[in-house]
Amino acid sequence: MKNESIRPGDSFETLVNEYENKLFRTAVATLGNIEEAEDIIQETFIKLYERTEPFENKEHEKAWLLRVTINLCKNKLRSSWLRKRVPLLDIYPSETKEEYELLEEVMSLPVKYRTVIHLYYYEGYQTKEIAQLLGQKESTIRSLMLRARQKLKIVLEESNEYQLRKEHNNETI
Amino acid sequence: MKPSNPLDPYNKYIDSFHVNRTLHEKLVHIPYEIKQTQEKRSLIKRGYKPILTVATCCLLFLMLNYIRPLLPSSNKDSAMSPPKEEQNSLKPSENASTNLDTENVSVPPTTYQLYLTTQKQPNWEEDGTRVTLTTITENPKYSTLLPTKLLRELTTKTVVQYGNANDSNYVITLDKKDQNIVRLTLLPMTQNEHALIVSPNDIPAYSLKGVTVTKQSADTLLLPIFNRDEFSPDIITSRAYYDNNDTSTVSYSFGITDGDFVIIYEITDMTPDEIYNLLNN
Repeated sequence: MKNESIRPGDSFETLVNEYENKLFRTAVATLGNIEEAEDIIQETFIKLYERTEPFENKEHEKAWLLRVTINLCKNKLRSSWLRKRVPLLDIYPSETKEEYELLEEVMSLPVKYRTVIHLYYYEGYQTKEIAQLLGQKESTIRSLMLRARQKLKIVLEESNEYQLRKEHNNETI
Repeated sequence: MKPSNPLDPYNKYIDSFHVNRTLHEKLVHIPYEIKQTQEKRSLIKRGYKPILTVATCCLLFLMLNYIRPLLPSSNKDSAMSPPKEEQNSLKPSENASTNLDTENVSVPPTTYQLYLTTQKQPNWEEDGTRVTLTTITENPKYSTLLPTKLLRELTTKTVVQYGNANDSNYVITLDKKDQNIVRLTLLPMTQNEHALIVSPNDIPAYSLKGVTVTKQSADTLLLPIFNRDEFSPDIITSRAYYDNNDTSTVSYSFGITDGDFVIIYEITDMTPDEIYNLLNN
């Protein structure tokens, strides 16, 4: 295989199996569009194949792939055609109204907030790691997180209240 | 995923997205696709080279065979110009005079074009046995057709006698090996003049400036040459004729000059008056 960045013993297919869903979900979360996300994933893996420098470790590999995916998503979002496409998804699969509102609220966040929210809550990265991943200052990431939380505050509070109420009812029963 | 994550619904929602089978296949085959694309590109590159080569050859072929003949000739005269070795030139000198040959010479009936010009000094190459006269024609307008094949043959034969290039009267006599003898005389002319004498009694058919000279008797031989249509009086600026003191073979010559060159032809068996009358009538 041409790609020297792929670890010894790892075939390209192994890497695809390992990262395709993770990267696809990140792209969907960022773009809110499945077709566009599919294109982005292909571009990301092409870049991986063409990369010649080896990765330092597994984390470096994952971070690089995420960063490439997010950057490609941002590039895609710069196009005026995609920028006009709001809302991102029409119907969100949810069991309750609160869940639906939460999803709607998250997915309607501006991309910069949605990206950090996704990396923080879904990927489990810390703000410092997100800052490194996105090439921004940690304070900027903290600021973005704060604003994103504020925007989600009402929804989250309602969701918490619902959760508390649900738990209380279960206890009563 | 954190258990107390307030965005669990979001995580659950995102988790529901999976790469479908088609996309997975595409991703897995990326290396193969890239390799195939690279091979196609190299094939195209390799394919273009022979195509371009063939196209270039075809163009050249067309140029050489079809287009070039259609192009107007830039210089008709130059196209007919002879090889350099045939472009003999003569020594410039001051006073026109001739050394006339009265012997019969058999000249091959082949005509070549000879250019006479004074634009450049002739090149003289002497190795003791032969003299080669070469010159560069710069003004093909003043050209005449002379049996230069004969001249060329002569200049490669033994030189019987030749004078010094610095002499005012410079005579080169070249003998042919066969019985026919031809004398070429370089006349002393002005710096701007060259002279050539070809003195066969029997000049074959040749043309001079489009006028065909047929084989004629000696006394009428040069008449067509001095056809007024070809040599108008204004270019016949000087004439010289003289008796070569050989009473037995009286020969005369005269020159025509238009400022660039002089051609002197010998007319035998004519008196000066006859020649004069010939030229003025």
